[in-house]
Amino acid sequence: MDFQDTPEEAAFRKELQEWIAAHAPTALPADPDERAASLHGWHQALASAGYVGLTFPAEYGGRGLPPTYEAVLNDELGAGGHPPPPAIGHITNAVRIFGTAEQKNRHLPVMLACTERWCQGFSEPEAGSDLAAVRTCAAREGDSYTVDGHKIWTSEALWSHWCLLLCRTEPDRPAHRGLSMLLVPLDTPGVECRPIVTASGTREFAEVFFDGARVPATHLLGEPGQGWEIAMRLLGYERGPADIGWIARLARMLTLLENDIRSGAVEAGPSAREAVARAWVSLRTLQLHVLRTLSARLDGSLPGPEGSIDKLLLTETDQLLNHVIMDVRGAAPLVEEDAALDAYFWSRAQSVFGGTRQIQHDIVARRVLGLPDGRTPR
Amino acid sequence: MDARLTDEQRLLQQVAGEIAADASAGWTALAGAGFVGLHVQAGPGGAVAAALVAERFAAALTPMPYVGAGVWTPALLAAAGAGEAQAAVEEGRLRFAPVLRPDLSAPARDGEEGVAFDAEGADAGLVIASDGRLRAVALGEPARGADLTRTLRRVPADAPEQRFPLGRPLTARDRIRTEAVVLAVLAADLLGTAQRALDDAVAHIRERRQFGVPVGSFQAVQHLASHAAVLVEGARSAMRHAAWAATELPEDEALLAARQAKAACSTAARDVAETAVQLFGGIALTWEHPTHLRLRRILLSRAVLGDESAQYRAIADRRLAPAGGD
Repeated sequence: MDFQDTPEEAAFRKELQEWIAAHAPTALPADPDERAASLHGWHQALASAGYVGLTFPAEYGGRGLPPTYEAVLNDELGAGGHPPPPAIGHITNAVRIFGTAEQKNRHLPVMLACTERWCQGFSEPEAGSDLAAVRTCAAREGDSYTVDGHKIWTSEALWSHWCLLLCRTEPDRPAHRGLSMLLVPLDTPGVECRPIVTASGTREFAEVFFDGARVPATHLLGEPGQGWEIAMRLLGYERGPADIGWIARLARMLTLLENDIRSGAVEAGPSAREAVARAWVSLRTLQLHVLRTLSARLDGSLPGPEGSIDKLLLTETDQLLNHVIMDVRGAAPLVEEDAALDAYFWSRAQSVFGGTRQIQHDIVARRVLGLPDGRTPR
Repeated sequence: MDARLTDEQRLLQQVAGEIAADASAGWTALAGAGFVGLHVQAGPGGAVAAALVAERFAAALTPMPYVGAGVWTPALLAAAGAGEAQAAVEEGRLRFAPVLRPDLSAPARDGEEGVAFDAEGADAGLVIASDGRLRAVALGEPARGADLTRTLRRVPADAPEQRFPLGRPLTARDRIRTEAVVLAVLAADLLGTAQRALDDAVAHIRERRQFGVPVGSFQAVQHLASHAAVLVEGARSAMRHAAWAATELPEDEALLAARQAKAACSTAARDVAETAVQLFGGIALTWEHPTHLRLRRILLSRAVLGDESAQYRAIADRRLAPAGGD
């Protein structure tokens, strides 16, 4: 056990710090759409400097580094108050693990360059926590699939070029076994995205409608019927906070608050200071835990159900931190709505998206602690 | 960076677990295994070794004064260069208990009333005088402490000094370094106690049947257990880092890491043990059952050198200091 940087990690950190000092913003635009555009530009800058896909094989545009480098990247960005890296680790890993050589060569380099953006079409109005109840169907006709259905809560669909679509291709098989994963270009005729405006005014979520959209059969990821397995593997990555840049996002919020307290821009009495320290302890626990998770992957093992522990630690930290920020900032975000309110609403979503807090607890209870499954069969 | 335990560290955990499980093993056996002053002898990474041992001993509710007499006072003696006393302590021939203020939040002030922590079998208490010198003082009456696995003894303000050669005065840096090691090991004690409380409770809800099914199949019960497991794993990550940092980072950073872990483990351990009580039901609050013993041990380890609130205040003072702070 050694938390010190190896000489290689130290060199990487130094090079990264220099790059950050020269290129990384701290402030982001207040307008949600402008903010989204600005973040996209930031992600492309990170990518062209070689900081996206650190742990990805070099042949697909990654750097082939050990998993712990993701922690270095997240820590350096967060500690400096800079925006997080792009949240693409889960989708890129799904394509890397399950894709054909053609699919990997076609998609991974442009995904990692952040020039082609992706969304994940999983949830539906009738398939939220019960994801296996997905109804969107893709019927095989010759060398293509015809897709009909309705996805909801699709993050970044409005700005994406492609959708990783969980759909039913084998209607005769039982729920989990009848699903497949399709790579769908969002400009396919018959696909329509409608934004969902969140409480904080962002249009990050959308509904996606499929009406007779024809997708070439070569766009199938994995085998027919393998969709559930791919989705679960992908969620294993999505629940790892380092894979999706969330630690950096939270560290940035705390850094900005602490800077304001140190400079006197925000007043904090004894109980507020104690609360800020409590948020730091929680964030630091999360960072150290994620480092432990990433270290466990140094031998090449894949994320398992323990990832739900990381997601739950992330959720608790996010919600605690945002309570503290709102409390310490007091009336300011209420009199003049600002980024603090936006972040607060996002923290409430943290226990809903990527599997609710309750689903994560189900996974920990049954698959980590080995407690019996008491759900009534449908 | 690699947060995984080494093979050597895993082996140490195993040996500590075996000694802890052996009811006949006494202090001499512990000293014979090299566990007294282990972090001093083990050199770099020594606090990790001490923490892993403390974790196993706490899990087994071992009634030996490992944190106080096996880690804390040997650390003070080593820092003071009290070679003779240190050797006698490491061989198990001499035992000191650290003396704390009556509220347990910090080492006692010399000449004031105090409480000796982990004083089972101790020959004397150790006080740090205002000039930084270690002084050995006679121990008074045992207190009727809440933790039944460790002994507290009163130290009156006028406790007679006992004559031992105890080395040179400690510097401020010595004291910070020692505090970092002790906080990390207390965090390990909290974690080990909480982990076993949870393990026992999870085993119980797998077996205990109500309404014709194991109670552990109910979602409300499962989520309590999961909540506790998340706390335990987060606390473990913080503790291991602090134990590493205690010897490997500069004093100030080591102390900050130790405070972080002590805060995380204090919060987690009480919550986990209380959750274990809930999962067991009423039996856990009776003499038929060890869970209240675990909760008692946690309450004491939380308080020693300051609970989470005390750590938050100290952390805020350091991190939120105006401009130039970290």
